[in-house]
Amino acid sequence: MRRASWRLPAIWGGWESTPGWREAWPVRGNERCLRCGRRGAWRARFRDLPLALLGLAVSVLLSGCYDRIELNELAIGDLMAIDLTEDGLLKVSVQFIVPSELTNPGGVGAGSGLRDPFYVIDAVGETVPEAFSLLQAKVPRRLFTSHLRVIVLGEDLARAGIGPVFDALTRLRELRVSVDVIVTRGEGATLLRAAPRLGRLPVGALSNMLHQRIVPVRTIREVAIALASEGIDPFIPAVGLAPRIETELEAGTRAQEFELMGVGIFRGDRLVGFAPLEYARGLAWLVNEAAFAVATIKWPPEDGPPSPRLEESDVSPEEALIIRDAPPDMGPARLGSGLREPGRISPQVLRARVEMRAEIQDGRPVIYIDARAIDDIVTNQAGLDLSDPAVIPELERALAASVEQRMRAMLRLAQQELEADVVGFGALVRRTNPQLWRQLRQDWHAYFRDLPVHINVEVKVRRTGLTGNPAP
Amino acid sequence: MTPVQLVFLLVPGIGATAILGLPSVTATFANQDAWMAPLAALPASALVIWVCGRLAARFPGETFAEYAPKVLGRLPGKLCGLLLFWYFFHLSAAILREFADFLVATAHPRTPITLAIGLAAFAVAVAVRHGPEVLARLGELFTPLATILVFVIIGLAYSSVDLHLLQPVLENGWRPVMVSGFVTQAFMGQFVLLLVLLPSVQGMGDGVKASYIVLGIVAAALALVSAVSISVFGPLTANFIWPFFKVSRVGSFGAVLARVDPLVTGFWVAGSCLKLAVHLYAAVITFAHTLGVRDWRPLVLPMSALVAAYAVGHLESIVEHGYMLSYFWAPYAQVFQLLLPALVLLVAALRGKEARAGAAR
Repeated sequence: MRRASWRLPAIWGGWESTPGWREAWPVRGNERCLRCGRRGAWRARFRDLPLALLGLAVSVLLSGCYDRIELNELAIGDLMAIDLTEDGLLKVSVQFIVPSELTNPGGVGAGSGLRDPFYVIDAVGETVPEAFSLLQAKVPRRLFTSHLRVIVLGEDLARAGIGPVFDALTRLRELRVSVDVIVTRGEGATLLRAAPRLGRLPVGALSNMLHQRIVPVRTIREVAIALASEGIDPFIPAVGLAPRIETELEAGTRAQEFELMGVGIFRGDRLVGFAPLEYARGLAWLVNEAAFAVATIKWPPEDGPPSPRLEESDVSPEEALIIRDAPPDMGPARLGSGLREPGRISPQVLRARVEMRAEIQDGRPVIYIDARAIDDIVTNQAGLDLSDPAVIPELERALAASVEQRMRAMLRLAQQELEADVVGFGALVRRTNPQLWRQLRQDWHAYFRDLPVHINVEVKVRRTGLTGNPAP
Repeated sequence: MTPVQLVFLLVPGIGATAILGLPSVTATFANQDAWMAPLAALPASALVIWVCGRLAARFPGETFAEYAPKVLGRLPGKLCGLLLFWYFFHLSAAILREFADFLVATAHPRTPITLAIGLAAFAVAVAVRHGPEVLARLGELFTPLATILVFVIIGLAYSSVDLHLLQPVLENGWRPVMVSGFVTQAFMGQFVLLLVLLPSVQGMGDGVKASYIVLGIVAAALALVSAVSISVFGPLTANFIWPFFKVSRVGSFGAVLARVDPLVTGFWVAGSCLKLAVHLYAAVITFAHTLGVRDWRPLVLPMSALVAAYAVGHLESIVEHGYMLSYFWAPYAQVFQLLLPALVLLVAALRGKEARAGAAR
């Protein structure tokens, strides 16, 4: 067996440049060496390996970045609010993470617990980037917006029009278009003062809450698409603050929790009204994002088609404020008014699928909505024998009626009250019949007001929770 | 290089820059129908391949600049060679600029564009000096990984895809699709590279066959990427300069896998450099053969420096670049990609010119 070569690799003038090396090497091509069993070509092929490794090491270890910014030179914003001031300027408030408060070098748990792991700075400018640059004058580190998770739009801004702001939101390099957007009643910056009990960072709580899918969530991308598309108006979930009942220890601290209030309804790029939570869930059905919603029905079902009802006494003061734009006689029944008479049954939606189509009848579009849902019964306060298969079809009909009623309530709000096509019926007509749409698009909103919508809901009760018969 | 290697070289050599930028350009004209543009451009692009293949069959082993004088006569032939050289030169500069614009706009905002251009030009020149076989090897390394990345991005963006945004199909008739197809043809017609590459491929017929396969792959990839971009961004597609990059920033697989856009930037660097390398090689070869220079290798480094200088200087801003690609480049490129080779083929056919059998290398 030939001793391993002690000579230098080829590139440094090693054994390739040594005269006669080829003759001295016993194995040619891919033959196997009789003495050591090695393949000759294998050795030849890898003779430049040291050089390649060196090159790799240099490019991996010694390379740098012209534009590098170290993590500890960044002020990472995670939540931002944009408001319109009285002078018509934009106030941008950003909540920054304080990383040193998030981790505790001392040991147990996270953070020292003494100070919040976040703080809020705001600045006023004519545009979002200008406000950013003014904000930079108040922050010792470079502003970094790539990790923004939620953007809050104040009510004044939303009512004045969000189009100009969305130009900045889609144009800025660092911002990702998958950021969630919310609106709030009143000033958006107030939302940045919340200090939810669950989670170190408010934005985490907020983001989690949105993604429970109680109401449909909207990202910058989806809102921008709705703004740019014909025949569809945007909607943005509305979030407010709810006071937390303080324990003695917390007295005097800011104890504010986020609360989903419903959705803000836009016409064009202007906010025209808020739909409260019950309506927002109807909207979730309409845009095919219904999930895990619980909607109680009365049992036995009342005669005739169920009529939405919202009694003055059922409404809390905050909510009365929000639904100011909606007439009081609309909306589905609220939970909890009387336990036994009439009885209540609550289904939970396991899976839901909504399909819409537009048909042209006599030259006018008609919308057909087909909804299918699979439900689990989670409460049966009506004494209904759910172990009896004969009961189920009747129950399913009643559940379907309640879903339809939800959708109807939202549609009435959108069509008659706000005249905002948030479901995108116009876009549906455009997809179905572009020629007809070209005639209608000029005064679509007027037409949309009286657009006939047929709803067909089919509910299947597949489960009855963990119980068959009702509790005694 | 083998026909298979030609496939791996030409897929990035033609598709690399188009995949990020083209959907935006075509959507400007055709809105939600932009995904049909690559399909509309198929016949004309196939014609380019056919012309190049016929020419290569008439003059085996020779590049355009070598046989053009034989066909058209000495002076017009040299002129045609120079024109083709100018096309490759200009396109190289455009690729380099597009590459650097993207890099500076998305990842390195404070880096001078000259630096991005200069470094890429140098690296590419080093690669080109090693000849087309080495470039083909790089293609073999790059293309499969890039293909996987494209599918990963599409998979991650799946939850954001709304196919309704592709409707209504043909809202404004075929005309906008045809216009955007014409613009796309300027990209897909870059098969004119074959005038230079085919002589290096073993087996002429297989090389042409491989090119048709590449055409199919590139058209399908562009159509797919356009369709995905439109179904994620709808009417916003035309507003973004690089829609597919935005798509890569949208997608996520839970909290496990998200924000793959730095990977896109990395592959963009590799892909555009490969594309630049192929075109720089074509430019140098055409130049050398036109002027009868025996060894083309010493020309590579100076040529890449010139390309870099032109890339820095010939456009003021990304706005001009976008405008040029949308409105100027399409008719301009047709002259070199289709008319010039077709003219030479026509004259060669009329005058019965072809290399005598056995005279080829």
